Amino acid sequence: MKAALNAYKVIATIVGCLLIVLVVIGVPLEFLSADGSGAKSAGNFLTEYVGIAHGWLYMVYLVTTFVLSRRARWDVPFTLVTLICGTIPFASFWAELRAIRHTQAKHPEPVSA
Amino acid sequence: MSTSSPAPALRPWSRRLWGAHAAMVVVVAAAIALGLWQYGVSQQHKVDQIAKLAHATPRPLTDVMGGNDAFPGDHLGRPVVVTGRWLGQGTVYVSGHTHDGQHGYWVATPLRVDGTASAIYVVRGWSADPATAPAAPGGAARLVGWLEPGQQADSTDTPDLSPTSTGSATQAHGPAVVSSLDMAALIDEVDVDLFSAYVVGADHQADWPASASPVNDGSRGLVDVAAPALPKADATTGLRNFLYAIEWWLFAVFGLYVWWRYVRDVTRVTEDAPREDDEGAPEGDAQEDAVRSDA
Repeated sequence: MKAALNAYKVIATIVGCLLIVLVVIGVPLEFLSADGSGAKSAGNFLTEYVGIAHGWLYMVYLVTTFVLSRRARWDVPFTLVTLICGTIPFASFWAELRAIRHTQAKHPEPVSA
Repeated sequence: MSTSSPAPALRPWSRRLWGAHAAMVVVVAAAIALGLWQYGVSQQHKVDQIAKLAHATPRPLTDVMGGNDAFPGDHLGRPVVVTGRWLGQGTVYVSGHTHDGQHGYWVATPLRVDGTASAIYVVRGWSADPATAPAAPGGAARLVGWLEPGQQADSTDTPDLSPTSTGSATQAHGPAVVSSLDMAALIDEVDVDLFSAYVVGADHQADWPASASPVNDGSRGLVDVAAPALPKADATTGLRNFLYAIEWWLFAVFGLYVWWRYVRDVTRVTEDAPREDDEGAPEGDAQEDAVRSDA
């Protein structure tokens, strides 16, 4: 359970940060900057490679979250909201905090770790 | 069978699970469709890149390869500008090319390329019958064509250039019919060296300004020929969308897995509730981990 929670924390943070880089930096750079400018090619690079990395890491996030949801016995709506929030910039961090609190409230540490 | 749950055992086909089944079908179908869509986008990127290369600004042939060079693979299908003088005597008819289902011939005439000691065969067009094809042009010419590597003669079907069958290679004795544009065989047709390549005339492409003003391209009276080999798209073109497609399909598998676990859980919990160590057991980390270890 603890391992699953820690794995969830790590992957959720990575995916959340990548998503922000992709949506808040990469996409505006690609679509708002002038053709042929350095900013445009930087945006292209970000959306290409961060986009690919984020897509695959999101799959890892899905599986990790699902494993945790079963170990921690989240109900189905809670699990779905957590999974979906992983795709929304910034909301992913809120969902991560919510999921950690929910899990710890349901399964308090037996003794101080 | 005493049970801790008053509810009847939930069967996989129970009405209460129809919502879950329907959700699974919708999610899986949507993920497969989105994957197909992304796959289509990735292929379209490749098609677009090829079309762009095939319609790139033509470069002078002599910038791309010299008269004695091996074929530059990077330039397969690239449009080139050829400037030179026609060697009408070397005209050959390449058999085995159909147009609208009709058998016929490519009509190819060598062009002595300015600035080199070599000639390059130019496919001027297609004709159903060498006897009715227009006469080979002469004089100076400047035209745009797609660069293609010289073909290999089919070993079972050698070029038919012998005087005893279709006549000699000279126009006076009838048309020279060959089975392929194999430079090693065609070298006998001309008295200069040949490029290890040939060119397919591309002067009648619409929306391609560079081909708008060919000089004496010799294509009058012939049907246009499409380039047989197109440039290659880069391996990375459309890669992102291709990987997205795979992710969507994996997501479909994930959706199936979640659905399967869910249905198995809810059908098992009520059926096997009396068993204390089953997944329906009371919560608690120690017990939980014990349960998990067998899952």
